[in-house]
Parts: sequence; C-alpha cells; structure tokens
Amino acid sequence: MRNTLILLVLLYSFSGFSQESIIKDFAENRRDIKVCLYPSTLRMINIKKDPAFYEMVNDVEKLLIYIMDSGTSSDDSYTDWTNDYRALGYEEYIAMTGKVNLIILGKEEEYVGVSGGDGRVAAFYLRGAIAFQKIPKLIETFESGDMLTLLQRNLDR
Amino acid sequence: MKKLVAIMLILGAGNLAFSQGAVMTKYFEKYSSDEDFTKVSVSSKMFSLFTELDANTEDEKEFLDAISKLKGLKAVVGENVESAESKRIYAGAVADVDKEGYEELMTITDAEENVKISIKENGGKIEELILVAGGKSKFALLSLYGEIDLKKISKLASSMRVHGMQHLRNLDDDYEDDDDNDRN
Repeated sequence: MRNTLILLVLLYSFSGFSQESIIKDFAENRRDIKVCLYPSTLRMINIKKDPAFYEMVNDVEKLLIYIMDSGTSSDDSYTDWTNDYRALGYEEYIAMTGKVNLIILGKEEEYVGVSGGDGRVAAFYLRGAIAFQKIPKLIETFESGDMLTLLQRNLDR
Repeated sequence: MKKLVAIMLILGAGNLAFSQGAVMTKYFEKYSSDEDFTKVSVSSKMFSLFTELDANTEDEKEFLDAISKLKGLKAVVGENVESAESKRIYAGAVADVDKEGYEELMTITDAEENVKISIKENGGKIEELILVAGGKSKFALLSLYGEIDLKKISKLASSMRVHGMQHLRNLDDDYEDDDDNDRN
C-alpha cells in the first residue's frame, strides 16, 4: 500500500514536471526575457497592498512568462508546441490565427498560452487557480506600472 | 430493433452537430494559411469563465447573462480584400449558409457593406446565429452558438470587438419593434 502511494506521488510529480517541460523546451533557448513568479513574488508586485489583487493570485502556485527573441516571430511554427499540450488533454479556451496569433489552453489548474504579432512573441505557463473575477484589478496594476517597474528592476540586476 | 433505432439516433445527432458547423469549418479550412484572414475560435470553457465575474451595473449583468449561455464563437475576418473578391466571397458564403438550411433574420444592404444575419432554431430556441458581411475591402463570417437570446445579443455586439458584430446591435431595435407591434 505504501509503495503504491509512493509510486502515485512520483508519477504525479513526474507528470507535473513533464507538462511544464513542454513550454520550457520551446522557450528556454530562444527567449529574450524570462520571468518566473511564485506566490511570494506575486505578493511583492502588489505594491499598493490591494486586497483584490491578493485574492486573485492567492492560489497561483507558479507563473512563467517568456518574451521570445526576434528570430522566433519570423518562424511560423512558434505555436506548434501547443499541440503537445492538446495531446495531453489540455482544452482550448481561445485560438486566433492570422497576422496576430493567440492560443490559450487549460487543463484543471494549469494554463499555457502563446501570443505573437508585429515581430513579438510571448508565452506563459500558469499553475494554480486564478480568480478570474479579479482580473480587472490585475489590468489596473499593469496600467499603473507597478508590475512593469518590478520587472524592470529585476532585468536591470 | 431498439439497438438499431438508438444507433440511428446517435448517427443523426452526429450529422446535426456536423452540419451546424459545416459552413464555419469550410471557411476555417479554406483560409487556414492565409494571413489576411483572421480566424477566431472562442470555446465554451472561455465563456464559462465569465460566469465567475461580478456585475456592477444592469448592463453588465445582462451582458454576463447572455455570454454565459453561449457555447462558442467562431469568426473568419478578412481585411484588405479586393472589392471584387470580397463580393465573390460574400455571395459564396451567403449561398453556403442558405444551403445549410439557416433561416434569414435580417439583411442590410448599403453602399459600404452587405450584411446577412441568419439563425438555426431547435425546439423554438435559437441555437446558432450566423452573420455574413462583405464590404469594399472586408469580409466577415461569424457564428455564435449556444442558447441565444436576441433581446440580449446587442449587449454582446457592443462589448466584443470583432468585425461584423456591430451589425448585431440592429437586432435589439428590430426585436423590440416586433414586440411593440405584437402588443398593438
């Protein structure tokens, strides 16, 4: 019984690792910027100590954001890696193709996405639950520049 | 015998589901590699997220109520399409929609753009609304499916920035006019 439990825990850990590894395989070697946010860093972004922001990110375990290099956008295949997530049962939330591309997929409490257009490509991986009703607050944070300031501070280091 | 009837029903339901999206599927495939045509697909998973949002005003409440009943949105939007080409695609799409048995709801014809809005009903409920728009340099084919309330559709049209949806605002006025006439 104990062996079965250990096996299940190992399998679960391995599956979590492999699912995150798909985006990493795509992004790590062609990124300009990588931002990795955990609950502690997400709380740091909230300079104004807005309770709605805390509520929104409270259950986010990890957020990875990649801004890709200029070469990535010139290759039309930059959305292909999302098919590997589809094969794992991730469902499509939104897909847009054309001059601008946007794909967001999700499964249980994991979300991945990629957007591209005008020579820019960005990708993300989010593990955990996000309180969608609080998203307007996140947009406000972006607009006020709090998050951008924090990111810039990290990049300057 | 029962088994045969059950199999036939399942196959029939499959065909119905297929024919519902046949027009959109055709245009998605046709322009899949053409960058001048933007293809958009929003799933029910995305719409279900809206049910978690808080409405502050009556307008927001109506918008969220309408959107939460949708099962999907698909659109093919072409920009910088030559005028003659746009007219040809528009005529072809209208013919495809008619062939699939959609019921015409509204047509708008003016110097700038031709628009045709059609619906598919099932058991007295609108389950799909399809809009075809063709202008001097633009083309749009848009399908909304799920449980569609024409009274609330203009709320969606005002809030979604997809070319062609602005024409759906006219439905609200027309629907209310019909209601008024019915009452008189």
